[in-house]
Amino acid sequence: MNRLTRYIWPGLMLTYVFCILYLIITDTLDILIHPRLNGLIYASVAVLAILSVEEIKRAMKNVGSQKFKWGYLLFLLPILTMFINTDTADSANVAFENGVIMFNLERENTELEIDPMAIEEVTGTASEVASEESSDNTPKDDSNENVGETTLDEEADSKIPFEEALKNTNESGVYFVDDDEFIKFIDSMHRNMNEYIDRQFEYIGIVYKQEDFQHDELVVGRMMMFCCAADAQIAGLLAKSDDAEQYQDGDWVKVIGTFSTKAYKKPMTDTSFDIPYIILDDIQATEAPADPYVYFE
Amino acid sequence: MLVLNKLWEWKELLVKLSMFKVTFLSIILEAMPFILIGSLISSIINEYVSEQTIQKYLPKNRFFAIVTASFMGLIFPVCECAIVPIIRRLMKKGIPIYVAIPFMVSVPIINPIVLFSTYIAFQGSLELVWMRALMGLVAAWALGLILSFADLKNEELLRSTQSVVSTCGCGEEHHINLVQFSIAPKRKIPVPSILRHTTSEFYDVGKLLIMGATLSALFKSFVPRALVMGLGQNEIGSILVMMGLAFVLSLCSEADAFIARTFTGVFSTGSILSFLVLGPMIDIKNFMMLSGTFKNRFVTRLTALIFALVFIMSSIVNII
Repeated sequence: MNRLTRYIWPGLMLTYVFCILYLIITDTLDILIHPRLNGLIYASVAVLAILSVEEIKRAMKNVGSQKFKWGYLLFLLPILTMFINTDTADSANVAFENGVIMFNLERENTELEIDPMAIEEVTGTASEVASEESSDNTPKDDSNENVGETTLDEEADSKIPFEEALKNTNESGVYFVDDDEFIKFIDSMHRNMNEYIDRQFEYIGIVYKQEDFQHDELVVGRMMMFCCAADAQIAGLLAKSDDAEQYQDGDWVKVIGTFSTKAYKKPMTDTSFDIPYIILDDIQATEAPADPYVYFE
Repeated sequence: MLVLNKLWEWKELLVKLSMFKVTFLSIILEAMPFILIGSLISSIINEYVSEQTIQKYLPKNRFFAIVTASFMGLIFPVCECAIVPIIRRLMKKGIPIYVAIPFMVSVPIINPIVLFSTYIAFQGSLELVWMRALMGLVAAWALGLILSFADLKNEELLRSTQSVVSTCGCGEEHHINLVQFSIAPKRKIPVPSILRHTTSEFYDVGKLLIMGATLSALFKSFVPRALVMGLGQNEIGSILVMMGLAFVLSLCSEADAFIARTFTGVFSTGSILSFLVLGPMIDIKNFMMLSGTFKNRFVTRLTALIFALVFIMSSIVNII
């Protein structure tokens, strides 16, 4: 038995090799980590395989410690975890816990003085928008001023493929946003808000609601991954639909909506901001995509 | 009714377990390549860098050495997962603690990738980037100075888990001439030795990574975000909550800025910065890995010191 103990550690490392290969073959790796790390994972598989072979060679020569180490049981834990059944909804639950990013829609912290020459910061959180509306119960204030000009470098903008593609499409047509463009779409809607008023967009996304949204409001977004599934968040736009109440967190929907903006009055000031707002013309349940994530580059 | 309640609880538990799996495996997979890289670098240092080399190139002026170490992340942007095995090896080669620790805590912050991702996450706010970098540097320098004045010897701090004969720290006895081992010229690359040391480091650090990832994933899966949000409604509370969150979540420093962003407007600027500075320096994952390298007493005191420094700086930011 003592001689066999020497084979436990290389056996564990080899098991890791096979488990990672399984994740690669079943296309599950991209659901756990950002694709830019794939190269490192492949290299890790190779290194672990080499280390395993070296340890097996040493074990066969009866070299090395025969002592059973309790740490081996810890290395067993990730392997056992792989047997827990998961689906897209579980990944979404992790992302929901990290909150929602609506890029410039996040409320700027009033203690921070944002450089006016930086990218615009003109909005607040959807919850604050909703609470403002429900508490003030006032209609849109026509005297509100827009604060925070769009100060993007136009030359930089024109180099962004999504915006270039958008400019080249018929303005009366519906632009379908595919997965690769989704992050650029969200970002661009915030950066060039006034340019896209009344443009129609179609996209697939996951429903996310916060407790203080209005009854007809929801975010339709995608789970955006930065490094791994643990840090994924929902990225999307606040939307309005009469059918919003039919959909719950985690439902996948295909939407067609008209881009608009909504005034948000900053508390205790007279300034206000426009925030992106999609008026949904159509919302339908749909299948979750094979890869529910979009990847931040 | 009771049966339905039990079924509901069981279903909720299964959902939480699935969330645990996603979080746990993603942390492990993301960190594993860097642990291997760190272990490999550590083994190479063990083979090719002697104590004499370290002493030759280490700046004699302590403060200069501390400052130099704190900027090494600009040249070697190593992930915090890879840093622990490297630190361990460097200290065994004679790098003093007052250089090793500033190096360890600053590399995950003072590196171009992390600072750029902070810039992107906060929509071009250079101010926040500078504040994160400055707080990271000040904390690193303060730690270095405190450790320098404490005049601690590496032998007193490092965990001694190997026999006296095994000076390389791989956990095995070497029946070789120690003098020959340390100064014999290397005529060809000692691949088996490097592989053996890499394996050993990977085991030592990896098991602690798994422990840290387990705790982090459990927290994330079973503690709702709403509870955390509710705890940070005053300035001091918000700093403590954000520091605790940074410690437990064990996020990669390239991604933590995006998570921190979602707390803006609810938590104070100082608390957001405490999250951004403390997390890369120390979290559950690193704490576990450090516990395998240093004695528990030192790790606990170091962690408390980091918390205290970050708390003080964050409070100053809130006041200003």
